Amino acid sequence: MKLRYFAWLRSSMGCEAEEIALPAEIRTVGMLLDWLPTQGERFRRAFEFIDVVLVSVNREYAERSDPVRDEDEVYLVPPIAGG
Amino acid sequence: MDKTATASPNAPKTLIGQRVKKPDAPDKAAGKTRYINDMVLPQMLTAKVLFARRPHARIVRIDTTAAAKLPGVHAVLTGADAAGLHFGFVRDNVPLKDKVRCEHDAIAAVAAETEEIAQQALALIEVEYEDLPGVFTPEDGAREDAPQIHDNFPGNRSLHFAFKHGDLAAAEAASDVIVDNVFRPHYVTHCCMGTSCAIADFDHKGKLTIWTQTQYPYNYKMDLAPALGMHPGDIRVIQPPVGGAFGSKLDVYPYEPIAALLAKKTGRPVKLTYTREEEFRASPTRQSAIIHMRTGCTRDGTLTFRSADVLLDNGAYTSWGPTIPVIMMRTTSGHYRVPVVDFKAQAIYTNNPYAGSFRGYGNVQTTWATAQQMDMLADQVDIEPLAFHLKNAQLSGETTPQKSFLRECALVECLQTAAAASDYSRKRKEYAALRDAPGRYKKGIGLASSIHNAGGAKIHKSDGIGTILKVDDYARVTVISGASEIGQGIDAVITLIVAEELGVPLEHITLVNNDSDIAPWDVGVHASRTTFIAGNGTRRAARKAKAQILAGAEKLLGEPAADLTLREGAVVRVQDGKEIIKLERLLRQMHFQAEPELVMVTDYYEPKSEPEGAAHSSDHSAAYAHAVHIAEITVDTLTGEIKVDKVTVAQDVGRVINRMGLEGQIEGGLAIGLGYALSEDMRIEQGHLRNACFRDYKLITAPEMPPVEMHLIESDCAEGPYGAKGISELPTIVIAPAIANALTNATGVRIFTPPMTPEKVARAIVEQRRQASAPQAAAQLEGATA
Repeated sequence: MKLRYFAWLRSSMGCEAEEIALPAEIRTVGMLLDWLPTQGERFRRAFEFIDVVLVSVNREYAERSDPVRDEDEVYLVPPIAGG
Repeated sequence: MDKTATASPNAPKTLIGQRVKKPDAPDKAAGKTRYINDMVLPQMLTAKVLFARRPHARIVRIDTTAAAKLPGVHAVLTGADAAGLHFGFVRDNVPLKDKVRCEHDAIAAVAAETEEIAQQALALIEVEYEDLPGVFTPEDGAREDAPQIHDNFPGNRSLHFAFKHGDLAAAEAASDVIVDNVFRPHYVTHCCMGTSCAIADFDHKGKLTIWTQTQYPYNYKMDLAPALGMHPGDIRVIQPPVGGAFGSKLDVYPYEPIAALLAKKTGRPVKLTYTREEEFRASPTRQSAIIHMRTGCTRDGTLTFRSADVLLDNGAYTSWGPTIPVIMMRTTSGHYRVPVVDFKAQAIYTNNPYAGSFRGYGNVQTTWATAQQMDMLADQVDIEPLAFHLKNAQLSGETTPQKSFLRECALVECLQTAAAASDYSRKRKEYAALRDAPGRYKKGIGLASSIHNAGGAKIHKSDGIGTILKVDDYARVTVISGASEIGQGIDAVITLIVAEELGVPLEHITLVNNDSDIAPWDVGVHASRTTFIAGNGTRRAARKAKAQILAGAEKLLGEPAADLTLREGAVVRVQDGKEIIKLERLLRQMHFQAEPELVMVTDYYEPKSEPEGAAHSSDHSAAYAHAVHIAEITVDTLTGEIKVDKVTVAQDVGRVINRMGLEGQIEGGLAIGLGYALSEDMRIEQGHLRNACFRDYKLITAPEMPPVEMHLIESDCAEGPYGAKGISELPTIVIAPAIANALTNATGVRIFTPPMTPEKVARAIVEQRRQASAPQAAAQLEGATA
């Protein structure tokens, strides 16, 4: 799976994108968001408030219940403000 | 204002659409309001900041020894005290700097007993700088050999956005006419009458209370936390009355964590207030931009495509300014029926001041371009502009290329109403014919329109709001709402809606909405959302309370709830209006009975909109609205001065809720837009602001306001409260290109870089005359030679 980070997540993770191997038991966005912070200190710190972040799977907005697969591209986009 | 007209009259005996005064107006008018700038806490210290005053430099040495020893000084902080406290959208900012990237970088801060002592202490701080080569335009910043401003942003590249729809090459090939221009919207700033101010205080448990002017208290906690190394849950935000915000308080800026860091260090409350000069230099600007826009159409006037290639001056740090492409692309793709769209934007770091949000967020800049190109295209295909606009105007039920669903679209009504009211088509033709006639003063008329989100913008996972409502034993209502009041008038809207639903007097309603420990969550005041979102939330909560009250009446009085309603402080029969019982008596009977009941309800309203998403292809607002402005001007062709004689506004407001507030928002929005169009200009040279005072930075004030004729078009939004749409940003967005189009009508001159100052206009007129006479002179010369 390719993870692409935006805004402060990019700074926190130290890269724009990275490949991860998705375990077979991780089947939904919600499971992914629960699993990622367990993958080391860098993930734990950056994803402390991951529930406020918008998730897109293959450029389509996704809810926690939406499916994910290892071949997907997942965008993680923090909220922004407006005018 | 000369005239207000409404397309559909309100039903009798409703407060909706009436004129309701702001609850805080009497205190403000009498000078009794205590703004944050007036606040004093026991044992409070005053903070001052040492600004770098140079655009790009390495700090070789900083010595605060003498400052710290000055009697009355309690703390001195430098970049070393803020190391690692990265904050901001891309975490490129820290409260106090160890390297200088723009002139208003704070490199030290002092907390002292008085402002005078703090100021003296700043003078005692010794700093040795090594100046570095700077970057002062985005074009220069993008060059391969440009100095790097942030080590972790190679090529000085900040945010990038893109959206494409359709086959651009084919659309270009199918176009009979293409206009191709570069527009350069400039720097302006918010000019809040209350300068930036924060007061911070820690309790014994380490919890921070910060009094601040923020417009988004709940997300603010999350954004402030990393600047202090704290958990957001340990921050309480209190919003005292503020002297304006206009988007400038939609992010965390360094003065806020600096006040908190000093409070932590001293163990005392610390207040930091900007002077007016500091406000000019260190508060955010409107995002400047270089917009290369191309728009095509066929000979019959049908739009074929629109493309925009945008370069943004990011400034030294990334606040919300460089995120404006989120809205710029919506205008590029949705301002009229545009079948093919190609939008891209890149922000480049420079050593200039950095931009934040500002009323009209990206749409002021984009409409400056789109609305002028509509005027140019109409002329090039020789179609009367109103007909050209109407031909391309969307209708209800259409969807834009980015999937904005225009459920109730009143663009045609806005165009026709404004044009008819101002006699636009006749005057435009007449003035154009007189353009080359003798005479110093020329009349012009210009039309512009735009589209904007009018039901929030789901750029957060939720665009919702929480509301708590209680009715006490005396039928006094307290609404605890997440909706922030920054002067825009949501206090009046909320009380009006509660009075409408519960039949209680306006003065019996109290709004509590300024403490994050009390009020429930809300995204914040932005995106023309608060009347729409908080209005719906309030109405839903009030209706829940009403249902509970009427059920109580049924239980205690035996009258079916369905036959009852609330009116004028009483429970009445719907059929004949007969009073059954005073509301307050019923409430006491409900309370003091065998099964006591208090009227307390909660609600969380989430609008029916879709998150923005990475593809930027979603119905991201619960409603969209249009406005049309027609500007009538007189141009002094000798001095270049533009006098705005009249503005006609036709705006889709969905439905009027508080007529007085709505008119005020349109007038206020116009004043900001007029300043943007005509006079306001931050003169930034080599990273230095040269006009940091109101003497040299000209705001539009009351004497310069033209007569405004308003036409409020009620499209009855299905999702909006009582049919209302958000209205507050469009007035700022549309006026500048309307004046630009009027200037062209009057003189033939077109200005691409605002503001349209007398000097700029006069130079353009002279240049136009020079070019017009050049071929003539050359021909004469040729004839003489022959």
